[in-house]
Amino acid sequence: MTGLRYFVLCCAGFVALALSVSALAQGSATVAPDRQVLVMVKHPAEHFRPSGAYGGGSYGDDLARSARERLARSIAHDHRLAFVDAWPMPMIGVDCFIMAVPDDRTTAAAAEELSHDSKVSWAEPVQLYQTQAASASHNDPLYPAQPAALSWDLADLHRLATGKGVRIAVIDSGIQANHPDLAGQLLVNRNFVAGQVEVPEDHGTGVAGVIAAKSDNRIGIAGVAPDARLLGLRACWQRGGASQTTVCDGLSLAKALYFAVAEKADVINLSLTGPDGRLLRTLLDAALERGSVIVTAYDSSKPGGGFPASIPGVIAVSDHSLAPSSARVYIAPGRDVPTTQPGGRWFLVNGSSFSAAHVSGLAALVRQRQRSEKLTLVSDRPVGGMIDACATLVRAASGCDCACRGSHLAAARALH
Amino acid sequence: MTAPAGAPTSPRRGRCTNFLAFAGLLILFLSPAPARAQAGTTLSIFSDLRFRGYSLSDGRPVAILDFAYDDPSGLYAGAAASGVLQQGGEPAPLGLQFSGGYAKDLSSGTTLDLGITHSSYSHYSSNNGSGGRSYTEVYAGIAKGALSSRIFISPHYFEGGRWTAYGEVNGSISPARKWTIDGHAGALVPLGSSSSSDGYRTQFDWRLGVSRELGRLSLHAAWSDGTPGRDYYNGRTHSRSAIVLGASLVL
Repeated sequence: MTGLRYFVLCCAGFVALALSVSALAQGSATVAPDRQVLVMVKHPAEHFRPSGAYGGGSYGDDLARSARERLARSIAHDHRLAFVDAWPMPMIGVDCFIMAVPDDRTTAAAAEELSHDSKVSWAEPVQLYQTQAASASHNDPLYPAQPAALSWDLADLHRLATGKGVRIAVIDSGIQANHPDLAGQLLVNRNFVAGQVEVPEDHGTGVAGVIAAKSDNRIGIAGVAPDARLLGLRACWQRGGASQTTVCDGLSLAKALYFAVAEKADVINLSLTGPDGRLLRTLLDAALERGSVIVTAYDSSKPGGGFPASIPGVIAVSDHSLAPSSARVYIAPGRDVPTTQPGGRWFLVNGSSFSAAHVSGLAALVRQRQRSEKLTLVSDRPVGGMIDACATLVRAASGCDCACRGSHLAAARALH
Repeated sequence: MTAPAGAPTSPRRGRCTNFLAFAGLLILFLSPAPARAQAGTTLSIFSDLRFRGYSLSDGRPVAILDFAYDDPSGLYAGAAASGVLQQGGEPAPLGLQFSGGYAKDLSSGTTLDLGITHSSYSHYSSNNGSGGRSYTEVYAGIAKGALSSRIFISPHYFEGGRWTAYGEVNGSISPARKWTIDGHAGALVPLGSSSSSDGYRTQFDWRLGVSRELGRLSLHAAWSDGTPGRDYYNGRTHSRSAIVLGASLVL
C-alpha cells in the first residue's frame, strides 16, 4: 500500500469516527432553552500554543477547545448535568458552558448548586424574554402617515443626518432582508436561535423598517436612519397561533449581544424585556464600556421597566400611550406606526418596541454627527420624558448653523 | 528543509531526556486537572508538516498528538509528539515539542505572553543531514482581539551557536459560525553564528488557512509559502509553496 493510499484511508476513517462522535454530541443540543443553564468559568488568557503543526494557527484553537470541553464535561458530571455546548467569550473573560438540566430538578436549583462549585464563576438559568409589541390593530395596507414624520419632522432631520456610516445591531426576530424597503440595508443577517432556520418574522422586520427603511425610493416608508446599516441578529422567534407572540431565550440573546459588541455596533436595539440575567448584564456593561448606545423597550408592568430597561446607561423608551412612573424613561412614537412586514408588505404596528426603534434611529443620526461623546437626548424634562428629536440632533451637529424653533428645525443653512 | 548544517545531532542521552520529559508531561495531562485548570488534547493528521515555510516531513503525511495545560494563574504548558509516514508506508517518530509560559490578560483586553519552547526532530525529519535537529526559543507576545504578534529568540536554531530572531503576526476571522480563516506572516532574521556557516539571509514565510468545525472534528486547509530560496528534501529542490490538508480531533 502506498503512503498516499494509506493517508487517504486514515483520513476517511478519521472523518467517519469524528462525524459519528459529532452526531452524538449534537443530539443533546435539541434540549429546550428553558431546561438549560449557563455555566461561566474563567477564560484562560490567550497565548501561544506551539502545536506540532506550523506553530499553532487555527490548529491551536482546537487545543483550547479540547481544554474547555474537558472542563465542561467534568463540571457536568459532578452536577449530574448534560454538557450541550461551549461558547468562549474572551472579551469578558469567561467561557460559557451550556448544560441541560434533568427533569428532576429546576434550572434555578441547578444554577444555585453550580454557583458553589469552585471551578464556576457563576451560573444562571436560560430565561425567556418577550418583545413589547402590541398586536397589530388591523390588517390594512400601508398607512400613509408616519408619526415620526409629523412629531419629529423627519425629513428636516435628514437634512442634517441620515445615519450614514453608522451600524445598528437589531437583536430581534428574523428580518426579511430582501424586503423592497430593506434590500441592501443589512450588513449581516445572522441566526443565533439554535435548532431553528432563519425565517422573516413580523417583529424583527417591523423594527428594522422603523430604523432603516430606505427613503426616497417611492415605496413604503422612510426609516429614521435610512443610510444607516443594520446587523440583523436573530435571537427571538415568533410563536404560532393567534397571538403571534415573539419570544427570545437568554442564550440566543447573549450570543447575539456578544456578536454586536464584538462587531463594535454603534447602536444596539433591544426591543424586548424579561428577567435580569448576570451574563446579559455583563455583556451590556461591556457594550456600554465600549461606547455602544443601547436602546430598549420599557415595560410599565415591571419594576424599573423590566430588564434591560432597568440597567443604568441603557436608554429605556416607552410609547405615547403609557404613563411610566420612572423619571428616566423617554417617550417616542410607538402608536399606529406603519412599517415593513414579511412578504414584502407594510402594516401598522404598536408598542414600546417601535418607540425604541425610533430612538435607535435617532441615535444613529446623532452618531453620524458626533461619533465619540456620550449620547444626550434632549427632552421636555431634565432626564426622560418626550424626546425633542430636532434639539437632540442639533445639539450633536456642532458644525451646523441651524436651530430648532419650538420642536421643529428652523434652518439648516450651512453644514461644515 | 534547508536548515543549515552545523553541530551534529544530539546523542542518545538527549533522546532519552526528551522521552522522559514527554512521559512526565503525558502523566500530567492525563491526571485529573486541579480545580479551574484546563487541560486539552487533540489528535491531528496533516498531509505535510510545514514549519516557517519549509517541510519538516519531506512532504510526507504526519500525525500529531498535542497536549495543553492552562492554570488559572496564567501559567501554561504544552507538549506535542509527531510521527511521519515514510515512503514505504511505515510510520516513524518525527519530533517532540515542549513549551511553557505565562500569559496575563490586561484590563485593556490585551494579553501579554512570555514563554519558552523546545523542539527536537528525529533523523526521519527533513533535517537528516549533518545539521542540528533541535532548537530552543524564548518568546514574548502580545494579542488583542483577533490579532497577535510575537518575537522568538533562539541561541541555537537547528545549529549550535546559531542565533536567530523570528517575528510573526497572526490574525484570524470567523466569517460564519464554525468557520475560521487565519493568516500568518513571519520573518526569521539571523543574528549571528559561532560556527563557520555564515551568509544566512532573512527568511520570510506566510500562510493562509481555513478551518471548519464539525462537532469534535476540525478540518483544515492551508496554503503556505516562503522566500527566498527553495526547499530541499528527498535529494532535490522543491517549491516552498504548499497546500496542506488536515484534520484534528478534539479528545
